[in-house]
Amino acid sequence: MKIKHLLIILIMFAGLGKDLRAQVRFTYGLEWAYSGVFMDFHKFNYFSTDGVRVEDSLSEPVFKSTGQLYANAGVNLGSHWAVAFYSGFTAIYENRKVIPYSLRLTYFTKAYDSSGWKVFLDGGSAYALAGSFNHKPLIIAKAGTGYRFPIYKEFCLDVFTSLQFTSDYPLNIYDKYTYQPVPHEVLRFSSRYGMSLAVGCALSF
Amino acid sequence: MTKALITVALFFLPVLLPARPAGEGDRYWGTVHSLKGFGASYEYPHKSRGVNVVTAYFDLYGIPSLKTSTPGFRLSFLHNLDLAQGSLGEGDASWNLYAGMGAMAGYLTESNLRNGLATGLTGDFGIRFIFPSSFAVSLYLQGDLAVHLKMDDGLTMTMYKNGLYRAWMPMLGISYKFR
Repeated sequence: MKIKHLLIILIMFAGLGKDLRAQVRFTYGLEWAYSGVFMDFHKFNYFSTDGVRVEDSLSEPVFKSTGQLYANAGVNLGSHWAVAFYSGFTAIYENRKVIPYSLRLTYFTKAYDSSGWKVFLDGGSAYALAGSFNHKPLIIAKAGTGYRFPIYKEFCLDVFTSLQFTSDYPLNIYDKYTYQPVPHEVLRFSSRYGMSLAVGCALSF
Repeated sequence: MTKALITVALFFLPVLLPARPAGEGDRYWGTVHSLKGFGASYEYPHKSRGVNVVTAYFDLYGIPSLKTSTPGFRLSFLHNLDLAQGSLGEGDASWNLYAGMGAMAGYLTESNLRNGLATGLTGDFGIRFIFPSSFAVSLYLQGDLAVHLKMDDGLTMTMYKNGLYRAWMPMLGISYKFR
């Protein structure tokens, strides 16, 4: 099935006009950012040692600092649009380190290699190093804007800011009375949502 | 031990370097990015040879791993000299390999998570790309040979181990030449 999809994409690419094909260029880059988590809502329930179902939620005001580090590879379509695959390392909130992977669509207000603003939408998932409840996939989505400075030929510097939403199913829960870790076997539900604001830089070439 | 030897070697490298004509060079303002920390830098030509670089950055030791939540602050002055240089592409961009030494001071977290005042020598070694767009990008290593002063149980002074342990972490400098 995947091979069929790949063939369809290749045929579509081959069908592009010669002028348009000449404008499609592969790009690579690195991106890093400071990220501040300002919303964190966690709801979970589990069976206690007495066999009682304990339900709890945490939604206190929060501001936690984390970081993001990404590498990307993609294509520029024409002089204004770009699609790229991003992956790297980040913490979506305290003690929740993940390896995210996503697709990003970017629109450049000026030509790709010129000084100018850009806006982007990014969506994907992540592999959680500590595991997830019922192996449910995480969701990471972000929207952002930035400014591009061309440095040399295709080598560019971007400064950007983005707003990120995460939906997660963490395994590591602490008992509300004893503050001890809850065994994974007695966990019945765990869902956590968060929002963060990132400010960072990117180099692309 | 190897990391410590490399750091010590960096301090003495500039002594062997060739002179650069006085007055050559530009003034750059920039930012510093690394897992070690982030901050700002200012570079200006030295009156006889080489360039001087003043860097101030927030030290992030222990923050990504959530061992501590308070960043340190570090200030350094470096005198950098060229080891080798060349041109890129059609000759409109250039690169230079450089090394330097200088002094540093700051309020920093040691590897045992104790905060204190650190001061001593610092050295760097890296490669720098200078582009016609007025941007310069450098990738370098920097290590400190310093002491760490703490006031917990009276004044104690120890070697600032993080200055050597983290010398291997690459740093990226992005700077801009204001005309």
